[in-house]
Amino acid sequence: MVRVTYQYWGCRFGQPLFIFYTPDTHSIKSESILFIPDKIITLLHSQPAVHLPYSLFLFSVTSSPLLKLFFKKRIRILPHLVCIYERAPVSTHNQSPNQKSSIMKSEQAILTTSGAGAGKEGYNRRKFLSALGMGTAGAALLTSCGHNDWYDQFRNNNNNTNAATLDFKDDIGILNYAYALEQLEAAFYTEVVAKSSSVFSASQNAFFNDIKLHEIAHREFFKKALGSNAIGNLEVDFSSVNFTSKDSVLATAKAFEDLGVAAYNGAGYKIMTEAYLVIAGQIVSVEARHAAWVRDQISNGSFSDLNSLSALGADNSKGLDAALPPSKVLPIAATFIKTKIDVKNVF
Amino acid sequence: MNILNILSEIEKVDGDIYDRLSPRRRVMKDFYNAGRKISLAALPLALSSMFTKAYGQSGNRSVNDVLNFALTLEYLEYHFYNHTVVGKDPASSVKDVTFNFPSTAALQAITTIRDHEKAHVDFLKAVLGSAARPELAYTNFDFRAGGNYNADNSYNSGGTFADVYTNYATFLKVATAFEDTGVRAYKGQAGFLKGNQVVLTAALQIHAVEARHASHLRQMAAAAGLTIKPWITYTANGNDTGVAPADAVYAGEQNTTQANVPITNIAADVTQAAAAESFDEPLATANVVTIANLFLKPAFRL
Repeated sequence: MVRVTYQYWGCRFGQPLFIFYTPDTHSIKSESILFIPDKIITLLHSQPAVHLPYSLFLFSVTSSPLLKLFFKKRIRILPHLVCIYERAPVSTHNQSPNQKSSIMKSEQAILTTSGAGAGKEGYNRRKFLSALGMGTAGAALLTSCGHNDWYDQFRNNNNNTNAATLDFKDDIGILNYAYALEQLEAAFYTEVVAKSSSVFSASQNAFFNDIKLHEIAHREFFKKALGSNAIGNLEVDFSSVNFTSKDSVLATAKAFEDLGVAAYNGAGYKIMTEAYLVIAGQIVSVEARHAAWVRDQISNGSFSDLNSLSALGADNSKGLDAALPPSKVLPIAATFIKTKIDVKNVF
Repeated sequence: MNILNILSEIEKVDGDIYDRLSPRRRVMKDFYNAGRKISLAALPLALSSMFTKAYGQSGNRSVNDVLNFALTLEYLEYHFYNHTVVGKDPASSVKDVTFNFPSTAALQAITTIRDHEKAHVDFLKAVLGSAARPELAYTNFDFRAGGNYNADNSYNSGGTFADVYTNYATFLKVATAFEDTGVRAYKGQAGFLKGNQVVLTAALQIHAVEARHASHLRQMAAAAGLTIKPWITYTANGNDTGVAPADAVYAGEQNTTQANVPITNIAADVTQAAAAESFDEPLATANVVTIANLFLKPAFRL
């Protein structure tokens, strides 16, 4: 009997989204690797015409010891679950880079959408399996799993959209903490670049775009470095920000950058791996450069007004910048994050 | 050796030391308890052991080495800016800073930076106490980098940056290089302070202030005509300032691979430039020493 199971594994573009596990006769063939924008889909079936805008892995564990080894730590089989996209995936094939980028973003948004309306444009299991070339046989077997509430169960079992746990017991926890903050910053500047250009000068827009890319680079770095230990994507909430108000955007940017500096400075001593400590240092100074620039846009000369940062742990009399432990940073950051964050061993 | 004075000196510098040291507060208690039991002769050893526990050490560089190294750099920065703000060596009557700041905002920014560097000097001196390196005066430095000086320490001629105090643009170039060096230097020392709540945290806090300074100085340099961003962008040799004598300051900043993760194209639009900008690079002790020595007169070099 063939059982089809999957693992949801992060929903950002470029990372394997669904891993299908089919302990039967499917095998991996190099020609079944499809290249789509910047990414690779490894599709284990003879339907190479399927262009999914995310990485997808379908493979036979039994027939591919190498891949099995590669995913060994990342696969946690959730039996009897089937996830279906909320609508048919949009093809990115033969699209311009801009269109591809836009599709990727919208696909990502769909996958992080929750609540009412989910599945409205429903892409049913049969269609999905059919797209994967598994057809009715696969669908029948899935049906035999007997879970009518598969979608809810998927949501419930999926930590990536429901909650994130930051356990500060070790470096993984600290790095995930940094990853969470970088997700927040990257999401914020992505919004700024998309929505606020009319209120800033050309040079300001250019620098906001730079900052956006820096934060995205930080976010993606942590995601890659953490691998299977990474928390999922956080859902952000910028409803308190008016993106067409210069003051609102700058004030929020200042708050994020100063908080970022405080967070890295306050957590550094808990990082036990020297290489990670240095990486944190490499990032925090860039955040401080951002902070200084943003502050100068609000009021030239306020780049390192340490007196104004005393609430974040700065001490002007000693020339010390902000530093706060995560127990104080997270409540501030949480006002911009919808995803529930469970915290353990916080300091 | 008055041990209680040392402890109270530390407390003066870092009033929160006991709270901040909470995981290690026991060390202090241990010390007091142990003091009752051990002989006076054994005290220095007990003290040393206590500080090793409380302030830690890692790698092959002691915490004091790191702090004294930082102190040297802070003296360098402080005297550089102070001379500019004051216009002359405080001990001299000759005003040798002849450029004018283009605005009061520019002078104010340099004054702010000067004040922070002074605060860093005082803070590090106080933390180090009697272990602090000998004080460095303005006249111990050669901010022209290779200049000739008269017997009374007044400037005569020459130097890579001969016009550092007569040309505002040169001053900004050197200042930017100093701040970027400072940012890299602290980063390069972080590993030696790993796990040290008090000292590492303070070092990171100073490090971030230096980065803010660097960002602002780069904006000032841009306003003065240099093509330069607040962050260090990609160039083949890492030096994005266009100031060739500063190459050593930026060597390695072109790196775009972090912890074996290639950053370029890690996501859409993350170009090589964005990849290099998004991470500043550390600089090893020896490289920082080479740079600092360019600005120290021979008798005072590291």
